[in-house]
Amino acid sequence: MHKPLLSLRNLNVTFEGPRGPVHAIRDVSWSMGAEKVGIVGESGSGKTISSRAILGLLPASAQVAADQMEFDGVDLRTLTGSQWREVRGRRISMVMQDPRYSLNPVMTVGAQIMEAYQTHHRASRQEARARSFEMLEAVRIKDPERVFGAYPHEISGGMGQRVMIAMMLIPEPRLLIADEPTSALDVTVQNKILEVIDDMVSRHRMGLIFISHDLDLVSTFCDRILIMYRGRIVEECRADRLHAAEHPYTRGLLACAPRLGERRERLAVLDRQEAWER
Amino acid sequence: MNNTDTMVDVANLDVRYGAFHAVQDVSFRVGRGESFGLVGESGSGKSTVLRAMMGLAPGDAARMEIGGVSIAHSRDKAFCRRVQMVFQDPYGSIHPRHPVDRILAEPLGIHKIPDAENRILRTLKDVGLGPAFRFRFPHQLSGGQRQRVAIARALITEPEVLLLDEPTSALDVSVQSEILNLLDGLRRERGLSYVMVSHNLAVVAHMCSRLAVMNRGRIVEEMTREDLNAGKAGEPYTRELIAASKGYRPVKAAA
Amino acid sequence: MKSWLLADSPSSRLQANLGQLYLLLRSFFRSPLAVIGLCIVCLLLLCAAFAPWLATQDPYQQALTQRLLPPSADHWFGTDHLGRDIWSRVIHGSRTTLLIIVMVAAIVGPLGLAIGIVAGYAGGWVDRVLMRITDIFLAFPRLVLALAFTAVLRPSVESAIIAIAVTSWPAYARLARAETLMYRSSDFIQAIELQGASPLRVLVGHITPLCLSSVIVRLTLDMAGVILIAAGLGFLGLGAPPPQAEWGAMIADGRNYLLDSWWVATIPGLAICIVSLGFNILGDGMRDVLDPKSR
Repeated sequence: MHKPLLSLRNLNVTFEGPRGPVHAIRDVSWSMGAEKVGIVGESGSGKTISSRAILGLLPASAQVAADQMEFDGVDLRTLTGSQWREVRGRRISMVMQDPRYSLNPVMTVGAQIMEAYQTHHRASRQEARARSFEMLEAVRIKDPERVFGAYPHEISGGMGQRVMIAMMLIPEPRLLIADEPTSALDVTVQNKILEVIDDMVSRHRMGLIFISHDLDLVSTFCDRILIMYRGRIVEECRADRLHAAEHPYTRGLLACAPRLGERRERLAVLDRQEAWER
Repeated sequence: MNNTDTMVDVANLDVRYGAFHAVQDVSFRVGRGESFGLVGESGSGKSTVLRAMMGLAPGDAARMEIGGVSIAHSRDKAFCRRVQMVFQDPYGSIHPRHPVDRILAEPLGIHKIPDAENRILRTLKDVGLGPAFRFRFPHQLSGGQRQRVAIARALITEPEVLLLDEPTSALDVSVQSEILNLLDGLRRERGLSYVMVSHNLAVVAHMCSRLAVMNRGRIVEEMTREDLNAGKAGEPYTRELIAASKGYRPVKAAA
Repeated sequence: MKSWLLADSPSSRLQANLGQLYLLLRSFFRSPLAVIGLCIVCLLLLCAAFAPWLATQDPYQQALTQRLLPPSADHWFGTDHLGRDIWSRVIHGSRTTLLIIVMVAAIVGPLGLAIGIVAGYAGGWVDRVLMRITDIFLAFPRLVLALAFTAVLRPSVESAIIAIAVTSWPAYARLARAETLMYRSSDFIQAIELQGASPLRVLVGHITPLCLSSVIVRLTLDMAGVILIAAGLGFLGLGAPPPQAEWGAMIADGRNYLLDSWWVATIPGLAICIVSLGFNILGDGMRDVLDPKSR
C-alpha cells in the first residue's frame, strides 16, 4: 500500500471537566489514504473531537497525546501556530454542518471564496475572482454570477453547502473533513451535495473523512467505516461489509434504526454494555 | 374506517402568513387509536398544520374537529385536556428552571385534577422513568430522558389525541428507537390517536398506518404504510422522496 | 449534609432546590474577587446595623475648638470643619447609603420587571403603550428631576430616592422585556400555554424565573452607580439635609479644605469608592454564577 495520507496511533484527548478530567478520545488508531472514510457515532462518541484534534482546533485546555499523528509527512503533534496555518485550510480542509452558521453573514459569497483563495495563494483580485467562478461551476451551481454577489442568507441551504465546499476546496487540499455535511439539508438535496463531494474528491484524488450519525448513509457513500463509541473505535470495516459487522454496538445500531421496506412490530433497543468502553 | 370513530377531522385547512400561503387546502382524517403521518421536507408546511390545529398558527378551515367537537374557532381548557403536543427539541420543550415534579404537576393544577401525587408517579413509570427522576432538573437529564418528561407532561391529563412534531429528530438513533417504542406502546395501551410529523420516511413508515406526503403547503399524496414499504407511490415527488431516503446513490455523471 | 444536597435523585422539591442553591454558592465562592465584593457589601450592612456601637462619638456633636484635626488616636479619621468626628459620621453615613440602595432596589426591581414582562408577553398595543411610557421616564435627566422634586418638596433622602428610582426603572423594564421576547416563542412556553395556563400563571411561574437572574445581576451592578448618584445629589445639597451624615454631603463640606485638611473630603470619598467597587465586583461574580450561558 502507498504511504498513508493520515496516520493516527494511540490518540488520546482529555478535557478538564467540572467533575474532573474527561477522557474524550481513548487510544484511537487508524490510517487512511486517498479514500473515503466514514466515522460514525452517536453524541458523545468523540467523532467531532477527533476531527478537531487532527486540525489542531481543540481548546488550549485540552490535552492531546499520540504515539503518532502524521499527515502527508508532517508530524501534527509538534506544529507551531504559523505551521498550523500552513496546514489548516491549505492541506486539510473542513466542511461543517450548517452553512447558516459556517458562512460569514456580512460578507458576500464571492468575497468569502476569494478570501479563502487569497489566504493561501499570492494572487491578484482578477485571478482570485476567476478561480472562484471556476469553483462555483465545479460544485455545479447553475447561476454563479448571482450566487457570487449574494449574501449567505439569500441562498438556500443546499446552495450554501456547495459554496462551503467550493471555499474549502479552492486551495486544493489533500484531505477534506466533512462533519455532518448533509444533516441540516433536506433529503432530496442531500444526494446532490454528496455527488458534488464525491466528484471533487475523486477528481483531485483527495482523502475524505465523512463524519455522521447516519450509519446507512455512510455505508452507501464511503469506502471504509469506523464506528466510535465513547471515545473508542469499536469497529472498522469496509462499507460493503457492514452487514457482516461483528461488534455488538454496530449490530445494535444497525438493528435499532427503522428502515423503509422492513416492517417490525417493535424496534430493537440498544443494550449498552460497560465492556464496550474498555 | 367508521365515521363515528373519527378522532381528528380536518377539511380544507389554509394557513396564511400575510402574503405567504404556508398551508393550502389540507384535509385528512384520523381514526381512534390510529397513527397518521405527515411527511415532508422543510417548508412543506407539515409543522404548520399541527400548529394550526393547536391554535398557534392563523388557520382557516371548512372543518376542524376533534372527537366530533369543532375546534375551528376556540380552544378552551377542555380542548387542552383532550389534545396535547410533543415538540421536537427536547432541550427547549421543558422549562429549564423547573424540576420534573413541577413540570408534571402544573397541568394537573391548571385543570384541577386531584390525586396529583399518584398521577405523577404513575405517569413517570409509564414513560420509563422511575421515581428517582421526580425532583431532577432538566439540565440533569439526557436528551432521551427530557423527551420522556415531555411525553409524560403531554399524557398526564389523559388526552385522546397527541400531536407529535418530529419527536425523535433531535435524538440519537439508539435513543430514538426507545422513544418510538414507548410512543407506540402508549398508543396501543391507551387507544390514543396520533398525528405525527416527520421528515424521516422510515420513522413514519414504522409508526403510522396511514400517511400524507406534503410539498410546499399541499398534500401531494395520501398512502398506507404497506404502499410506502412496497414503494408504490403515484406521484413523482413521493417517488423522489422515497428514493432519496434510501441513502446515497451515485448518478452516472452526465458530462 | 453535603451528600444530601448533592444527591443524584432528590426526594423532595426542597431538597432539589437547596441542592441547586448549594451548587450556585459553591460556584460563587470559587472566585476570590466575588468573595471580596461580598465582604465589602457585608461590611456596609454591618456598619449600618451597628452604627451606634461602632461610632466612637456623636456624629452631630460639634466642637469648634477641635476643627480640622488630622487623624489621631482620639479621632480615627480626624475632624471636619465643625469639629465633628469623621469616623462616626462615615459610620452613620453608611445607614443613609444603605437606605437609599435598598429603597431604590425595592422599587425599581419589581416595577421594572413587572412592566417589562407584561409588555413583552402581551405584545401589540399593550407593549407599545408601556414602552412609550418607559421611554418618557427614560428621557428625564436624573439631576434635573431631583432638582424639580426638591423645589417642590424640601431636600431629603426620600426625594433623592424617588428621583433615582423614577429614572432607573426603565432600564429594568427594557431588560425584562428583551428577555421575555426571547423566551416568548420557545417551545416550553408554548407547551404550558397549550396546557391551558392563564397569562398570569405563565408570567409569574414561567417567565419571571427566567428573567430574575438578569434583573438581580443588573440591580447589583447598578447599585454601584446609585451610590455615586446619591453621593452626587448629596454633594449638590439635594439629598439628606444637614446635619445628617451623608457621604456626598461630607465631600461637599470638605471641598474647601481639600489642600490642607485632605481627610475631610477624601475619607468619605474613599468610602463611596470602596462600596461602589464592592457592588461592582459582587455583581460581576453573581453574573458569572447566574449567567445561563455558562451552565
